[in-house]
Amino acid sequence: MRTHMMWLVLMAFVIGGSAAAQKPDRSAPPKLGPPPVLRMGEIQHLKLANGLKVILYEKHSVPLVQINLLVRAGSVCDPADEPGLASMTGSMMMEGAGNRDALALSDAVDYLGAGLGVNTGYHTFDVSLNVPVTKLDSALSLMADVALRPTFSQADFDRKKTELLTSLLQWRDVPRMLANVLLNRSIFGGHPYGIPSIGTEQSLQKLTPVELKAFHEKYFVPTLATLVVVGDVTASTIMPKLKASFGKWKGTTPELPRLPETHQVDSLRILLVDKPGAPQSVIIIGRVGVPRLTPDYYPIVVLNSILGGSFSSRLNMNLRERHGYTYGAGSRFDFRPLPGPLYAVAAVQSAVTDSSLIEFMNELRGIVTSPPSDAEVERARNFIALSFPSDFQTVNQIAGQLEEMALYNLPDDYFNNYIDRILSVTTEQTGVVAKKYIDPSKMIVVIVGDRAQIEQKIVNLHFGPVTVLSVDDVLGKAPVLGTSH
Amino acid sequence: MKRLLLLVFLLGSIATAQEVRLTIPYTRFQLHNGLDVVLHEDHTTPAVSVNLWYHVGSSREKPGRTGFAHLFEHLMFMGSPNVPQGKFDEWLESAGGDNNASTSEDRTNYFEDVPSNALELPLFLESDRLGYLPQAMTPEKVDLQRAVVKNERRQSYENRPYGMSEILLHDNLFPPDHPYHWPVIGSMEDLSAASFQDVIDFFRKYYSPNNASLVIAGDIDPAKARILVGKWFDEIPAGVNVPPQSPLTVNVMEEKRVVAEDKVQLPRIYMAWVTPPQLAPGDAALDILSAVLAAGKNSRLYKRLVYDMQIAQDVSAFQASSGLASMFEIIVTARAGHTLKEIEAVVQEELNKIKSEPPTLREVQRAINQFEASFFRRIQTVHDKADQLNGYLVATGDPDYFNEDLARYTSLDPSDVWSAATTYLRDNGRVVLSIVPIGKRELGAQ
Repeated sequence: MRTHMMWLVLMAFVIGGSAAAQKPDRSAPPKLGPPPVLRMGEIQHLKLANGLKVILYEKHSVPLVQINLLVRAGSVCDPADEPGLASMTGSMMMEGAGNRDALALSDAVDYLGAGLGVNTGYHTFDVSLNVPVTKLDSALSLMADVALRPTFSQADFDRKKTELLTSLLQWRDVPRMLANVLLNRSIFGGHPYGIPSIGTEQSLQKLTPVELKAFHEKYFVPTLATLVVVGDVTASTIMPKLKASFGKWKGTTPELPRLPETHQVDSLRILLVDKPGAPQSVIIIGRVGVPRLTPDYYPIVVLNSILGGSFSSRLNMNLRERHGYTYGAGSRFDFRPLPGPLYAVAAVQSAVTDSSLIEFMNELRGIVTSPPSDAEVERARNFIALSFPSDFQTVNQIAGQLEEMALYNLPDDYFNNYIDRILSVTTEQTGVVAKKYIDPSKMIVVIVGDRAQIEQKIVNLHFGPVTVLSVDDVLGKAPVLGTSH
Repeated sequence: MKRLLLLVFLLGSIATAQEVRLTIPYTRFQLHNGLDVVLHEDHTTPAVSVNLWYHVGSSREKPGRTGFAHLFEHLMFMGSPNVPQGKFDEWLESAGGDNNASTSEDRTNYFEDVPSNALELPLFLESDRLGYLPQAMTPEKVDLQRAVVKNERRQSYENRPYGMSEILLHDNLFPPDHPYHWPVIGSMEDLSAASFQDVIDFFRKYYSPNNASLVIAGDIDPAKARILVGKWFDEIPAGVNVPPQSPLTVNVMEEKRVVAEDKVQLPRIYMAWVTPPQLAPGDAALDILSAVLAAGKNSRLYKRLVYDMQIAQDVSAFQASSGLASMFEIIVTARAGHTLKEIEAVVQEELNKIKSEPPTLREVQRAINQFEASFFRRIQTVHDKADQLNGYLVATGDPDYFNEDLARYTSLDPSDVWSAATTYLRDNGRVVLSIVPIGKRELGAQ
């Protein structure tokens, strides 16, 4: 009888339960086994005869290919009086290339179901292609045209310029854009990082297609470039295709500009940009951070998770979950070849702008005076390290990881070692980097909100000098557009 | 960020390759309490996605309590008897897991993406709140998340240029008693009115295993996963039966023209129609039509308005598919110095053209090829696969509907697209919304 009963219970359990289902023990979360290890496949390093480096990672689970051409030049190469040159060059590369004008190029790419685009950053151009492997040959030919033989026609240039100037106009409506532009300018001044990559209205008006073409010829050379290939290909199938598309590419290595040093913020200043009637204020607080190759990289990554890089971070738990001031608060260290900004940000209800600022400063001070605890550090280490393998699922994600590896000359075992490096960060180390890099007495505070509601209350906090600015002060006078074409 | 409000537009429009047929193998079972479970094995990455759909969204709300399903979604994270407030995220983060949730008109979705060793943790967490949430609920928790949701609304709607457009479109397109009339985020007044008792009642009515479906996709052993699901969910009794909602016929018999002012530099025009629900006849053709009209430089509207005439900054068109009805929208932002009357005149010309003559084979095939490629892109992650399996399960009863879904597109020809335009995009059955800079009503399409 007992055996029979046991068998019934067992079967019920296996089949999926019955009215006599056992109650599980909910007194504690279930114990988990050891986490899996990330084992990247082989990262293949290849080269074309003209010196163009190729990094290949095979992934055959989905019949897609991602090919990214990384060129180590960007808006830091803009001459001081021509901000926006690199970015405009990148924008124009899709507006006609090889034998195709903008429409024919777009039609060809779209018909293949491919995604092809050019992105310009401070230090890099990225020509990226995503395409089903069955359409690779045709798509690759289009990509090579865009990368190597863009046309820069006057008519397309004029059309694109109007589009970009209109975008600049629209930035005036977007509180977060205003905040970003002002923060970066205030932190970095005349340094390239202080100028938006897109440039300004004045600089865009002065550019000509001749300069774009010259910029492209100067910087798009094989010695400054790396091709990253991820997806459903092998070395033997892809290399002949790359040779056909990029093998004849030539050029002399240009002299790269010497970049000025960044200078740290030296006091606490509050800049208030008036957006009359705004129901929320965007608050962003920042200073100069660290370069990507800082020796403190892993402790900083862990520290940021605790401060504002996760849902359970100090900033988010305070501003959102305890006080309900915001939908979300966070922080970030922007790692670049030179020190990018570190900042904390949230969009808060207008009426509690001053209270939110108090809490921001409490947390920025608190991370130094009450540094991360063992529990916080363990949770943050695990969150970062154990979720890392999930960042290697799409061909696009993997290509991005490999581009970072190429840009910073990271070793091939970087990914496989990443988890261990993060898990080795100690509580003490996070305290050290907090003290070293976060100084709330030397930060820029930008608030974009309704001056009438918030100014006096901010001033009354006596945190630092408060300067009120208009949108014109941040972006310049609105571009005069609107002459019909 | 967390508990992001997502208006789920494109549910089932996935394409598979014409040359390669991909299947997403699964096993399926149902617990005695009615919970539908689907398991998909994929060992490419040592990760698992746990994806739970409750078959309740804003369409189940009543006027006076709009925004409730989404507010309730937030409250699901406020702790349950064995998961103290704050621990849900802390424990998942400690295990290397990401999580979030979203609410749409038709369903509320909760997911956890974890390393493969941590599968049991989301099952413990989800079953604890499914079974016992009210025991840990307090009026203070309701007040807190009410404030968070109001800020979410401000961030996504009131404080964003053109942010109120979707609210205005739904409000004007669907009759007041239609479940899609009010926005998922709800109104500030209704959010203020939501009470603690409302929360308890809502839970009892809609949050039951028999009103939910669970998909687990990734690096799993299906037999072990099945045991774990049973372990944590078996004990939860079935709840009340939730009758399905039938698509309500919406006959928009007039053209409604609305002009609204906003803090924007440029005027923008929206045209919107009520169209067939997801997966219904016409749904796929309208997807293709939206691409013919506005996807890429060679699309009808982009080429004329942005490229040739240069009187528009951007154009977009899409078929936003939902369970009871869909919305087809055309959106155009004017360039400085141009009015929405000018813009509308060109849009109308193109609508007339596409209704009088089918698009070319190339236009249609170009659009189909793009949908096909996007199919591959959307099955790369365990997260996306889990969500899509759940979506297909709920909409069709068949989780692995990928190829059937694709066939909806590859079987289309130009006359189908033309037919969809003439049948569904009627001039006398739509909303035309102009959003103009403050004090500039004359720029609108009155």
